Amino acid sequence: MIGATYLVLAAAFVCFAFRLVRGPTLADRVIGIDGMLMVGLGLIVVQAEDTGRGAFLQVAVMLTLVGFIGTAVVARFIEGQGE
Amino acid sequence: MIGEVIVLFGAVLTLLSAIGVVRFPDALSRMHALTKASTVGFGLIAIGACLNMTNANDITSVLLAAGLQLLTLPVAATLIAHSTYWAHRIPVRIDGGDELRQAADAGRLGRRTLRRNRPTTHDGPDQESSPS
Amino acid sequence: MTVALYLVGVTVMWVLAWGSLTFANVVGGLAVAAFLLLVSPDRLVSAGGVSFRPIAVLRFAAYVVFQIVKSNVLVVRAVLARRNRTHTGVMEVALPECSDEMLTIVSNVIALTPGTSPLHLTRHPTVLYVHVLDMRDAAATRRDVQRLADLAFAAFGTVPMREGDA
Repeated sequence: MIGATYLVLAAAFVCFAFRLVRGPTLADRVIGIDGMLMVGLGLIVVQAEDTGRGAFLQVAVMLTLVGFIGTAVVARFIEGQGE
Repeated sequence: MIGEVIVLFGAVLTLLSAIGVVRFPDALSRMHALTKASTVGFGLIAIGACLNMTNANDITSVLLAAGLQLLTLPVAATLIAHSTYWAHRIPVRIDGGDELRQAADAGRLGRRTLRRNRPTTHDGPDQESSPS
Repeated sequence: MTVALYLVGVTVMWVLAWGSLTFANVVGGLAVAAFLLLVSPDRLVSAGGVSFRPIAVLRFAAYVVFQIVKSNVLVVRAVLARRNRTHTGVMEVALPECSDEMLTIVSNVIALTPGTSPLHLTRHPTVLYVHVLDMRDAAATRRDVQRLADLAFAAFGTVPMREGDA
C-alpha cells in the first residue's frame, strides 16, 4: 500500500508539472510550483514513515515556511508587473 | 494498517486536487482546487504517518509541518488570488456577476486603489483568450 | 489573558520544533516568546483585540471542520464531473463593525470553505469581496459567509473602541 501511495503522489507531481510548463500565465505557474511543493512534503512524510528514519522531517518544516514566503513574493511581483 | 489507509486517502485527495488544477479553465478556479483539497490531503498524510511512527521527535516534527501548512496556505492563496485579479494582463473568466468590477467602476473602492491597480478587461463565458 | 495565550502558543511551537518535552525546552520557549513580545509589541496582544470564549470557540471549530469536509467533497465532485460545471463570479459581503483581527480570522476560514475564496477588502465601509465557484446560488453563499462571521464574532470578538483605531 505504501507503493501505491508513492505512485499516486508521483502522478500528482506530474499533473502539477504539466501546469507549470503549460500554464499560459505566471499565476498558473505559481500554482503549479506550490502544488509540487505540497507533493514533495507529502513524499518526505511518507518516506519517513516507510523507512522509520526521520532525518528529513526538519526539511519538511523548512519547506513549508520557505515555500510560503516564495509564493508571497511572487504574488507581489505579479501585482507590480502585471504578468 | 489504519495509518496506511489514511495516508493513501490523503494521497488520493492530493491527486484529485492536481487533476483539478489541470482541468479547471481559469487561474482563479485552479487556486480553489489547490488550496481546498491539497491542505486537507497533506493533513491526512500527516495524521496517517503519525499513527505508524514510533519516535516522538518525528511525530512532533510532522505535526508542526502540518500545522504550519494549515496556517500559511490560505494566506498565500489569498495573496495570489488578489494579485491575479488586479494584474493587467492576466485574463480572469467571470461567468456570473462581477460586483468588484462594478464597485471599481462606480468609484467605491477609493482613489488609492484605482490609481494603483487598473481593472482588467474580463472575458465573457464564451470567449476564453489568453495572451502569449 | 491574550498575553498568556501568546506565550503558551509560541512555547508550544518551540517545544514541537525541538521534539522533546524537557525543562530546558520549555524555558527556552518562554524566553523566546518574551523576547519577541519585547522587541515587536503586537497590537493584537497589547490592545486586547481578541477575546476567547471556550464554548463559542468549540462551536466555531466544529462549524469550520464541517465546512472543510463539505468543501472537499464539493471540489472533488467538480473536478471529476464530465462537463465543466463551474459558473464563477465575484460577490460582495458587507461585514460592518469587524475589527482587523476578526477580518483576518474570517478571511482565512473563507479560504478553506466550499467554493469561496477572498479576493479584495476595503475599509470604511467594510466590504469583503469573495470569488465564488458557483454563482448560481449566490444568496445561499452570502448567508453562509454571514453565518461564519457571526459565529466568529461570538467566539473571538470584542467590540472595537473605534474602527480604525491604531
